[in-house]
Order: sequence, then structure tokens, then C-alpha cells
Amino acid sequence: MKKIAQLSKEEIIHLASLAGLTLTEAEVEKFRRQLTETVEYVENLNELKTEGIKETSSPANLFNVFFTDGTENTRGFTEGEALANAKNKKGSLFVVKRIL
Amino acid sequence: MTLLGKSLLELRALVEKKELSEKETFEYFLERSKKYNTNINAYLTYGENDGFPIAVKDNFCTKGLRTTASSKVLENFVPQYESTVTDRLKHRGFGILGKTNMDAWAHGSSTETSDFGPTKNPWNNEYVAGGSSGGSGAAVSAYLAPAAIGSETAGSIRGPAAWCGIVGLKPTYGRVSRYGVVAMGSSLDCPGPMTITVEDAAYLLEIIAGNDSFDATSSSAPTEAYRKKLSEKRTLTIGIPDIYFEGGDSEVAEAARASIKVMEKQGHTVKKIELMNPRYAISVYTILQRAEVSSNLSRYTGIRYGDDRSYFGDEAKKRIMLGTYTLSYGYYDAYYKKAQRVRTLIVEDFKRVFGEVDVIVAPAMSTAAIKLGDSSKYSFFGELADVLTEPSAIAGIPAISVPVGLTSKGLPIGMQIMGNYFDEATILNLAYQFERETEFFGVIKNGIKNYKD
Repeated sequence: MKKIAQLSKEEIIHLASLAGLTLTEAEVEKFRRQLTETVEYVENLNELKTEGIKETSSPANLFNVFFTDGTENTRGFTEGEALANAKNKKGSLFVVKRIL
Repeated sequence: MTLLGKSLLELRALVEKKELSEKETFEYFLERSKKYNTNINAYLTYGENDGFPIAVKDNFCTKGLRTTASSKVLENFVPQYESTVTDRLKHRGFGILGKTNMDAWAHGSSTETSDFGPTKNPWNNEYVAGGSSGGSGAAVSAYLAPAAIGSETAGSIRGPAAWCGIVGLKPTYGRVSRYGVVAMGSSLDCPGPMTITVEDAAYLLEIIAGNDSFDATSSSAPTEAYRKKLSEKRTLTIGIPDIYFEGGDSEVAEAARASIKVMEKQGHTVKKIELMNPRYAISVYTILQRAEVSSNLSRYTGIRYGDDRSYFGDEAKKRIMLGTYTLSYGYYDAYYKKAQRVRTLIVEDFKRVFGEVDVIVAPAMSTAAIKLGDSSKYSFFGELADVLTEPSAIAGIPAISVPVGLTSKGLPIGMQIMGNYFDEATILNLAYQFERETEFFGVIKNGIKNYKD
């Protein structure tokens, strides 16, 4: 594990933008301090030898779970249901920000 | 007839014998809830009187009934579909009494990160109920519901069960479907019952457990007749990890040790075992859970439902950002992969120990409930508070928390019994035998007595 001393203000702002979050100046400093403290703590994992150990992504250890052919799909919304919780819609469409 | 303190199964038996109607039962708990909720803040929304009452944590989607996960983002979200757990309960005649308060998005161990105010501990309203299923724990403890459903990622059932003085069962990962549960850590989340008797927990597990085609990680391993197996006379080998008794509140450790003596007297064998220091589990859990949180919460854009991302509270923002960090290029191997490897070590550690013993017994939480406001002193309070529940949650094994006494301040103490994969029957059996012997030292009964009709 790399040794990371401190998270910088710029890193916090960059992370927030990657995560689609907007932070105030005060939040940037607060989170910088708190996240640095958390990152410092988790470095205790460096005390453990993990070379050659396989990663566990889920304790269920299941692979390729499929529906059997011909299974009837009992889920799915009607158009009305799908739109029921949208705050911003036009007719039968969700309104989103312009992409292109 | 006085209903106060009757178990869920006792009440259902009365309904079956027609000495009581479902409607009356529902009304009884609704009235009690409304009377005491102003102080305790266990409920966010009440349901329709259309079945035998049960409280459900507000991260289970309930069709037509508001589901917020205690976040402002979902303040007005009314699900168009039903979670598998509540669907199965409804098929067995249950109706949702109310949706219970929780840490927002289940991020926390005190229900203080709820955007709708903290849940108070029914034993002392200046203390937290624990979390994240704090509303469910408090509702059952004050008898504002005959039983509740909670969910645990690491400690969120066992923690509030311990701090509110009730029974809380976290099943094996995959034993109960996660379909329709607002996702937190998808490789960790487990729905489970919170009750006033072990038999009620076994009964509810029978209803909610089992494979679900809508949750690909739900297991097809057969479920068992958990209730029937409670009364089987069994003598077990109980593993005691000394490291779980160190560093916490000595009153808590002593109460757990005294209860282990009771089990020994009942004919069980006690054996010292070595387990990995749980402080490594704090790190594994922090890294993996935040990575999964950052991914799961990316869907909240305010387009199809809910409000936009500016409505996230501090705790969610913090977790999303740290998850984004540990999953980003350059840090992925150092944090995420490393944590996944240590997760393998934790799994192997438990597998080794279950070659020697049938169950593992330890305190559920290292302390009793803390005062409201005290959690804000920590940068990652939830992870530190849940240190004794994180290793088993990471491994995905089942565990049950039961009350074993009160501290000198009069707050409940919880002890946990951890079991091997899909062996809920054994931990329930031991908890049941212990309940028969001790009646949990009167903790559950006395807790209810404080909340008169």
C-alpha cells in the first residue's frame, strides 16, 4: 500500500466533482480532515501479509446466476408507474439536462 | 385482556383462537406508538390497518407507502413495487404498522444521521438507540410493535438490539433476499428480525428466508424449520475469543462472561479460541462498504425519483467521496484490492475456528448505549462502534444478539452468538436455551414495563 500522508484540498474538490457533489468551502476543509483521519486508520492493513491471497468480492461466492429460459418476467413498470416519482417530466418523458 | 408484553406468537395465537382480532391488535400498537413516538421518534410513517402489525425499517420498499431511508433525497418517494421481505410478510397476513427511523441510508450506528431526527433510547431518552436500525430497535423495546424488521450491513441489527435490550438476528449473507431494500453495501447487507423472544425471531426468519429469483445473491441453500429446532436438546462447543472482551467497557465484558458461565452450567463446553484482531475488520469494512456506497448512491440523480444530490447529508457525502477515492485509478490496488484480500483472511479465520467449535460467543457491542451527540466526536464513529460485529459481517456468517443484563447506569447489555454459514438453527437453539434458563435477566420485560398502556 502506498503511504498517503494527507488528502489535499484539491483532491477533495476533485473527488466531489467525480461523485457529482457540490461542497461549500467549510465542507471541503471538514471532509479533508475527516477523510485524512479515516485513510490514516485503514493503513493498519499494511501490517498484514496478503501476497498471493485471492480477493473476496462477495461471501456468497456465486457466479453467473441466470433466469432459466422461458421464465416469465413478473417485474416491470407501466409507463405511468415508471414516471410516478419523477419531479420533472414532460408528457411520458423524464426531463434531463442537455447532453450534446 | 391485557396485551402488554405478549410475544408476537402469543398474539397471533389469540387471533387464531378469535379471542382478539387483527384490527384490534393493529389499533392497539398504533395507539401506543402515537402516544410514545413524540419522545422516542421510532416511526417516520404509519401504514394502513390491513393485517397483523409489524414495524419495518424505512429502507424496505413498500408499495404505495412512503420509503425514505431516512434521507431528504427520498422524502417524498412512494415505491411502485414491494420488497421481497415485506411481500413475504404480507402473504402471511402481516400489515405494515409503520416505517421506522434509521441512520440516513443506514450510514451510522446511532440513528443520529437520520435527516428526520435521532431515535431516542427507550431506556433513557438522553441516550441513542443504536443504529442503523434504531427505530426498529426502540419500537420493539418500548413495545410500540410486537416485532420489527431491520437490516444489517455490519452491526445495524445487533447494535440497536443490544443497546435497546431486545433480540436481534442477522442471518447469513444471502439467506434473506435484498430485493427492494435501499442498497448500502451490496456484498454485506442482510435483512433480519428484531423481537422480544427468540421464538419470534425464528418464526419471522422462516417467513422471510429463502431463495428469491429477484436477488441473484440470495442463496438456494434450503431453509430449516427454525422454530421446531429450538427445543432440540443439544450440547455445543462454544468458542470464546478473548480479544473480543478487551478494550471495551468492563461491565459489558463481565456480563457476557457471566452469561457464558450460565451456558457452561447448562452442559455446553467452553473453549478458548484465537481470532484475528477485529481492528483490521474496521479497515476492511470501511474501505469495502464506502466503495459499495459510492457505487450504490450514484443512482440518486433526482431524475427518475427523489431529489437531486444536493440533498445528501454529511455522512453520505463523506462515504461517497471516500469510496470514490479508494476505487479511483492509482489507489484501487492499495485500498480496495488489499481490503478484499484481508476479507479472504477473515473468512478463512472463521472457517478454521468453526472446525473446532459450533458457535462463538462474545459481547455484541463493546460498550452500552452512548449519549446523544457523543458520536460526532469521531470521524468514522459507526465503524469504530461496530468493531465486534464487523468481522462476522465481512465474513457473512449469521449472529444473534440477546440481552444479558444492565449497566450500573441502567442501560441494556447485549451478547452475541455467532454461527457457521447458514447455521441459523444452532445459534437460535443456543439463544433459546439461554432464554429459557435466564429470561434474559428480566431485561426485556422491565423495558416494556416503563411504557404503560
